[in-house]
Amino acid sequence: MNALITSIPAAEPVDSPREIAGPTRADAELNRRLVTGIAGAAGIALLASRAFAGPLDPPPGPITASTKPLSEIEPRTAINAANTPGDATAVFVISQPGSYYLTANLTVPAGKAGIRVAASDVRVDLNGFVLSGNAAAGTSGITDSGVALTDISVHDGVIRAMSGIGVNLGATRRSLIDELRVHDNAGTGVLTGHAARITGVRADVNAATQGAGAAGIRSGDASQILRCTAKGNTGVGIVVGTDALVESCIASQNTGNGIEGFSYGKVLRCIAYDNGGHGIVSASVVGSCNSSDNTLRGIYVSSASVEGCAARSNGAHGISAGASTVTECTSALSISAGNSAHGYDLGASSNLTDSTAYNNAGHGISASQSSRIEGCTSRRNAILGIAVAGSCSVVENNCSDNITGIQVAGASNRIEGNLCGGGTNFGIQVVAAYNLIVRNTCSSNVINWSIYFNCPYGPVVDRTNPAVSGMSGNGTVASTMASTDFHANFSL
Amino acid sequence: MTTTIRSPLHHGSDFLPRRAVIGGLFGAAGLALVGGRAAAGPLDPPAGPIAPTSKPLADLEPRTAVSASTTPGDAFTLYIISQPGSYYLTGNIAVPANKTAIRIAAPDVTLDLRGFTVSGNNAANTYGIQDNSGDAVHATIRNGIIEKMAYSAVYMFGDKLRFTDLTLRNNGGFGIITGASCRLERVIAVANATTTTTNPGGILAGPDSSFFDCLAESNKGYGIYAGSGALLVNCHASQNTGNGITVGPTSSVIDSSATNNGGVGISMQHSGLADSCTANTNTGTGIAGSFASLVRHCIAFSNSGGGVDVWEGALIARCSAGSNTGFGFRVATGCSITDSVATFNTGSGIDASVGTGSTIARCVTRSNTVHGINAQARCYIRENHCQSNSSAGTGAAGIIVTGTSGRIESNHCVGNNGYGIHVNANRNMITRNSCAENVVNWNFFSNCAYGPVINCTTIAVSGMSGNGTVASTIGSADPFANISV
Repeated sequence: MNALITSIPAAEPVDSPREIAGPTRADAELNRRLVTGIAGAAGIALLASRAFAGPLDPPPGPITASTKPLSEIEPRTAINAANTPGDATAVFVISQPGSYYLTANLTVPAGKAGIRVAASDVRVDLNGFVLSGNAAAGTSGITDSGVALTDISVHDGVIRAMSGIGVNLGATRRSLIDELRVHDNAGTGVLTGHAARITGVRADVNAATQGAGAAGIRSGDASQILRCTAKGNTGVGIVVGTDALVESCIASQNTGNGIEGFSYGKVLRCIAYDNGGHGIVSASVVGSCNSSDNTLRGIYVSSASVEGCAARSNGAHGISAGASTVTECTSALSISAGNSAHGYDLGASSNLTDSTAYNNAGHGISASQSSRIEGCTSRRNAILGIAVAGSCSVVENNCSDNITGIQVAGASNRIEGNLCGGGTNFGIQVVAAYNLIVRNTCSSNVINWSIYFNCPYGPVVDRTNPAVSGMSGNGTVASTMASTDFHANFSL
Repeated sequence: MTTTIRSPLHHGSDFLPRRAVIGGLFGAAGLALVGGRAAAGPLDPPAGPIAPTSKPLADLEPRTAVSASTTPGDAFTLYIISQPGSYYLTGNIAVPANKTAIRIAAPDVTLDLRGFTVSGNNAANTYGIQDNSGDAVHATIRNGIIEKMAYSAVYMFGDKLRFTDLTLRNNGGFGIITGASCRLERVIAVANATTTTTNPGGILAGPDSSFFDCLAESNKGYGIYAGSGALLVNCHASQNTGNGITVGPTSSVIDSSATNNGGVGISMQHSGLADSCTANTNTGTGIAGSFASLVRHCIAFSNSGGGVDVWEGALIARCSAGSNTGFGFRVATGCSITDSVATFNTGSGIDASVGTGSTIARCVTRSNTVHGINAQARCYIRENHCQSNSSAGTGAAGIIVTGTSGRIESNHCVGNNGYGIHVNANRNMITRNSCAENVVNWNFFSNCAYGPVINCTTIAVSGMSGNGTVASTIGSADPFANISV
């Protein structure tokens, strides 16, 4: 059969469908017809002897194609002057819902956007190509022009060197942005509206001239920013609205904050590193994040939950939280010239548990009013292990080798069950009245205890040199505590 | 001209000449036979000028094929991509000796291998994909296999690169080595560098890089190595001859695993964060963290160099370490370990012997060969459960303290094959603990403050049942009493 086909090349158009598909049912149909015609002219009996090859009669009904039409091979609409003609503001305008794709790099001329989306329910596949503004004036990459649209998707490509915003879908709800590289745009890299989902986007060195509000990635309320990177942008690396989720992202070397959220937002499993502002700020839930070497605070939140986070070598406090829960975190090497950088800086009504503060330039843990600090380890900080103002509970912490282990500056605190050792000044120092000090232990501090008047405290029992022998065995042995007072504080 | 492909059914398409051929043949040889098929449709084209009704070829695949004509190479390279844009392979590539398959010499390139294989076939001096001293910034390479290069599969020093869906196997050098701030997703590096004398490793990337769903297996050297500020999520490193996963400062390793590597399972420099990871059967330590590291929800089992080892100011919480050679957990000064479990390790369950000023709370240590908990000075050891330790009969303890100024409170030590609680330095406070069935329940150094030790081991009191008031059977009302049971 194929020999028959190739024997009539003149009848075979150059742009035959066979160039994109192998021999098909249509070819078979053609061959059957050729065979039939030849047989009619030259002797049907000869070929009839080969009738076992298949029926010679074509199937009933009209001729139909048996290959895919080209419109099924690439059913999407190419973005070009014919399909998506532009206007005075954009090189291309997509005005109908559907799926579109780019077919070449696009250099955006001055005063225009590359692609303006003017309809909802549009998907734009950049197909790996580059939209470049070459820094020409008035350029932007992809825009909704401020029209309230919904469900715009932009996928897989590069948007660079625009004098404005790289991707501006700020008025669009539920935009979906993925696998973009957005860099060196003078405005924000990616700007989206409410409920956007941005995945696998990296935004670098954007927003150099935008000024206030500039960011690598900026998204609206209830958005999700996943697996993105924002590096070297002027302003914030990643900023989201309320109820947003930022997960598995890296923000580094941005001139402003690394990651900035708002109320009820979550920042999970992110790294904020070497940013010019705070590392992570304003989120409601911060989990398993790492924030280091930022110019200001590592993590800075209020009315939030911070769990399993590490903060190191930040220029201000490591973790700063007001009315928040902070648990199982580490904060170390907070640095500032004025020794004001604490490991943890707790605003009123905070709860810090099971965390470590190590070698910070200020206090290990500093709490203002009405906070609770329990089960923490604070060691080798430049000033105080734990500093509290008023109405705090400080329970079962271990403070060692600070200037003072625990310092209480206000009234109505409860200081219970703590271990303070190696202070170069005091073990526990209470400088205000009406604090309860019970069941604590101090050892090897220059002065173990300094307690203000009008404070209720358990007896301080000096066991620094009890002159008792050791013991070994299973039998009953007398106490060497020299007190049976449950509230007693002990010096060792 | 081949730039326009038309549907066979469209009027004005190439299908009409074919029908004309058929019609001619039939007209000459027997029109009547064909006449019965005249219902195929009108032969007249529609009104108006002839115009294409389908896409040009360039729209079907607008990207640039990697070929000798579109991306010509040079004496050292098969193909060179020298302009930004989107490129794709059209078939497998066999790389001859002394050549690189593809060199990317421009920024903002997207290269789709389209599932094809680039193979060096073990020819000498071959590379897979390279750049020119880092000029391929913002490139994306995806979807294919690169194998059997004499040197590295991907050898690029550009920053901000992205690699997805790549399999890099059986190469003589790195599976992949890249610059800073790169993103690797679903990159698999298997059996690279196995024939070299050096130890390059499977996947290496510079600072600020992120790794998602990557696998490094059976490479010589590191499985995965990342610089500072790296993020690894759901990655796996196994059977590499060096460390499984190694990261620089301020890096996070999450939901990942390191198994059966020749070095440390997961190695982190300062301020490293490991969350929900497993490290098992590695020749070195399971998880090692430097200064101020944080290890949570992690498992370390059967490692030859100990389970989890962290340095100053670090924190371990909610972890489990078992059957390791050596310690289960080891902490340095100012650390905290809470809510964790250490079992069947050949050293101590929790080794804080250099852990001055550390806190150990709410942990369980059981059946470790040496001590359950071994602590230094100024440690706060409370509410732990230590059972059946010192199993080799070394005379070790459920809890041993070798430094001063510690506080040992409310712990329960049971059935240890040595001491229950052994305090081997003065000026420690031991209160409210309980011991049972240890060879020797208590051993305190001189000049320690401890509550009375109440021996209830031979207590002979009746039981009770009910809601009424019943007298204590402890034999002491001292709030600091330590009790033998």
